[in-house]
Parts: sequence; structure tokens; C-alpha cells
Amino acid sequence: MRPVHGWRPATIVGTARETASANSIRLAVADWAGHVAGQHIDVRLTADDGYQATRSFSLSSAPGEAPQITVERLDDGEVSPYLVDIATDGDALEVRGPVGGYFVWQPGDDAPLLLVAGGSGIAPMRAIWRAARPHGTPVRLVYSARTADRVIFADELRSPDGPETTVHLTRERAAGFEYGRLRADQLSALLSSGGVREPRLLVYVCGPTAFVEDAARELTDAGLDADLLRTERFGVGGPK
Amino acid sequence: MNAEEDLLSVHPEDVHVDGNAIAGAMSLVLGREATMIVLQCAECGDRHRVAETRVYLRCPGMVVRCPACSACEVLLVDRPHRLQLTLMSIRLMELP
Repeated sequence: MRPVHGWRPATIVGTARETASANSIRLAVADWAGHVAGQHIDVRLTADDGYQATRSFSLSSAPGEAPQITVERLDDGEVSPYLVDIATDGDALEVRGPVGGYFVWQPGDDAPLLLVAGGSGIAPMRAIWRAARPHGTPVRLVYSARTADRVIFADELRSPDGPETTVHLTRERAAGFEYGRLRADQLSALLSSGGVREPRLLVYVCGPTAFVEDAARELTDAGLDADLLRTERFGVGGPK
Repeated sequence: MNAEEDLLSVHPEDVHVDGNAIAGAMSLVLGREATMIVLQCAECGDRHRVAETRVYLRCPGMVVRCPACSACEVLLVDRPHRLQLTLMSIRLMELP
């Protein structure tokens, strides 16, 4: 029988601390049929008194891997403080999805990728670079974080398995990092390879709404065709 | 706080996200993936994908607005035992 409203029971089967304010949570979901890189799930928590809260979270694991979400704590959030600080193995919640067919990457699309992430907007990017790597698709990541200790997946980004990465910090200067918001002139260089504009480059931008609007504007100013741009914005209650 | 810091901040009052956030609920109503569906706004005629709409989250209700003119296109209420979709300013839905 089809679950009511698509909600299915899920169990937390592993957590990993990514930063002081971010956590990855691996899930076992009943009848999970796999997902596409870039998709998200809706997560529903039910309190003892019956109060329910629903939020969307991007999947940070690649297709073929167990479903995993990566969540950054919003101090006034209803759901993220639980998922970051309290959730432990064996906890039960409900999941709907995977959902999404716009902000996704699938094999067969062999155009090079430019991933632009702000904050926990890195979550779906991890799914995309892990999915794209076995296909030999070139992937570059530009990642904007407040401080060096807020960089999620830092170890993976430094490893040879990670994408070619530039990290921009917005609240501190540190060796090995760029400083400040992403500007059109910096992005323009990333739209080219060997000094030639890459005509088929696909660009994915994910982050808080203000970040995405700003980055999308800078990319357009840098000459990117809007048809090659895919965006996902989150806020309180939106995909994290 | 300067403007650069603001870009990575998520404010409680900043509840406008995009149409990806209603993909789960909307796909239940439509029985298929919803973010690639093209909507045409009945107010201004703009055509855009569901993923490109502006979504204002006021749980349990979600308001889907035209990215061009902000007309309310869809009102979606997701409750434990009831899912309601009110179609408002939509002239056309095109399924790819």
C-alpha cells in the first residue's frame, strides 16, 4: 500500500560531526529505491504531544550510497538543533522523497561542472561530485563559508578524491583561503579553461537565498548563459 | 555585520526559498516529478519552471509566487491527514 502522503519510516544509522555546527546523518529508509545526485528529501519529526515539523534537506551522499543528509544548526530553528546536536543512532523519523528533477546531475551529461556553494549548500554538491567522479566529468567547486572552521567536508575537499576547490571565507582571512564574496571577475575565470570559454559548462548554485541571488547575478554578469545555470535556495524551512 | 556576512546568514524572517522546496508535496498531488513543470502566470504571462518560483514557507501553508510579478500561483497546505493544493494565478501548466 502506498504510504499516506508519501511519508515512510526511517531510522538514523550513523552520524558524523562535520563542524561545530554541522552534522551528517545517515538514514535507513524503508523501501529506499535510490536517488539522483542533487535531490533532497522532506524530513518530518513528531513530538510526543503530536506536534509535527517538516523540513527539506539535500542528500549529501552519492547515488548508490546510503541516504545521508548534512545539516547546519540554525539556532532558532525547530528541526536543525535536534538533527545537529541530539540525533543518535536508532532514532526514528519520517522521510518523503527523494524529490527534485531540476537541481540534479545524472550520468550521460558529460559537460564539465562548476559547483558554487554557500554554507550548508555544499551538501548536494558532495552528492554531485561523488556521482560525477567515476564518469571522468571535470568538477570545480567554489565554496563560500564564514570561517575556516565552518568548512564542511574539509578533509574530503583536501583529498585527491575531492573536486578542484577554492574556498572563500567571508568573516576572516586565513592562509590558503580566498577572502570575501564571489565576484564576477573571479567567476569569469572559472567559466573558461585554458583561456577559452567553455560553452557547455553546467553551473550549480546552492545556498541561502541571498547568497544564491548574489552568485547568480555575478555569474550572469560574468557572461554565463542562464540556461546553463541551476539554482537551489534555502531559508528557514527550506532545503538545507 | 556587513553585506558579505549577510549573504550566508539565514534569517527567520527570510522565509522565501524556491520551488524545489515544494517538490515533495506537489509531486504527490501530480503523481510525478514536479520541479520541471512549466507554469504560466495568469497575471503577467511569465513562463517559468516550478523550481524557479518563489516559495514563502508559513507552515503548514506554503505560498508559491510568480518570480516575475509575485502573483500567488499556488497555495499548498500539508497537514498530517490532508494535503490541499489551491491553484490560483496559473493560466497554463506544461509537463515536459
